[in-house]
Amino acid sequence: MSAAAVARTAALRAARRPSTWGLAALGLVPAAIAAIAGAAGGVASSAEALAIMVIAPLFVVALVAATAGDGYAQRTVVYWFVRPMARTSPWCSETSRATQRSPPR
Amino acid sequence: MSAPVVECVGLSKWYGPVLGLREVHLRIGPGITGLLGPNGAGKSTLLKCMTGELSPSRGEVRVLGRAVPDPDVYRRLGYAPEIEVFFEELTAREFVTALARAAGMGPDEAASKSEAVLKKVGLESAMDRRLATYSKGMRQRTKLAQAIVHDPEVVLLDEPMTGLDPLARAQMVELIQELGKQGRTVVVSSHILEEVEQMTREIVVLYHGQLLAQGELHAIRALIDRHPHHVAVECAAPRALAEALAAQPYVAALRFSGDRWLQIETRDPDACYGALPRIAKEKGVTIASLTSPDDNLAAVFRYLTMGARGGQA
Repeated sequence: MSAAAVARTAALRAARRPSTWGLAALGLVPAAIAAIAGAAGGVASSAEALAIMVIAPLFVVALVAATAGDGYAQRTVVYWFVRPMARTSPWCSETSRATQRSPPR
Repeated sequence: MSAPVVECVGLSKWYGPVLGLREVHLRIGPGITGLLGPNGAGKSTLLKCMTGELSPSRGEVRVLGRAVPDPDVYRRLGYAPEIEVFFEELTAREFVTALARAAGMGPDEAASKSEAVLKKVGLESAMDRRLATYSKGMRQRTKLAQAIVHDPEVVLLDEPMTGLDPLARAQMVELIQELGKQGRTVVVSSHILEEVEQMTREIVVLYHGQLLAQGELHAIRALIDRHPHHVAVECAAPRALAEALAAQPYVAALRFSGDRWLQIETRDPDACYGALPRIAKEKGVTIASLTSPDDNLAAVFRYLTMGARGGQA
């Protein structure tokens, strides 16, 4: 339930950011090129196909990373942090890296 | 104190070579506790250790009898951090509802509780506006709302008064006092003495990462026996009153200020307070007001930090 709440919130936030739509437009450029090439009777090159297959998933990753990155940078991730839910491993590693230093001698 | 709700045992925290907290031993029970200290004293670090956001370099923090971080503790703990930012793209309703869902509530319960708590903190008319448009005062209220939406037993509030105007400040004090009256354990940090004084008499004083004092304000004041306690008496005939008081063993010094004020320095405030009405009656003096400037947190804080600096302040 908690993970779903995080995912839903991340999606809502991403959808309301103008940058998301800019990124989406950029992500669709290779597909658009392929579609135009196909309509013109040409065959999409393997590079274009690869771009579609790679860039589309990367776009999703970028969306999530942007939201998560914001959370880290502005520390808003703390609102999730104090809820009874599993912590993401990057957050755990960040926390332990930042807090497990030895005391000064 | 019975079993403490929040307990720090030998808690130390370093940020690289910088000392955040040093050997803090602390037990906090139900009710409101003011966490007091100047900027950089370690208040936020202590609260972050209590929430499990930071791991102690040494020592341990236990909340509700369990070491943090612990999901069971988080079901019963609310935290308002000092940061001013939220998920700015959301409305307050969406923000608080999402965090209520994350706390384990079902969709309907989360929605109704969020609405109720946002109304309670005075955001009824603005709860459907994006957080990005919120003023500082509204942000503080939203932070409080998300901290209490899941009805926690322990509420940790980091500088909840920052940026509030006097009216909003008074409302926030009222809200926090209500939480205390409900039997919750509320820890409120502030570097402004008057703020804490308005909310509670139970204080924890931090200075340069060290715990200087903990307890009831008056009791802490009494511990500082090298500083006489000051009592200010307003009456029509302060000289007549002073004449009778001069012979009392608990009076260290007497001063007049203006025509109506007598300042008494005493090393036994209880005896002084006990005897004053009787002496006034005997002398036929009507006391218009009786105040103790030393019961102000500012005085306690000044004395304590002077001690910590070796009396150099």
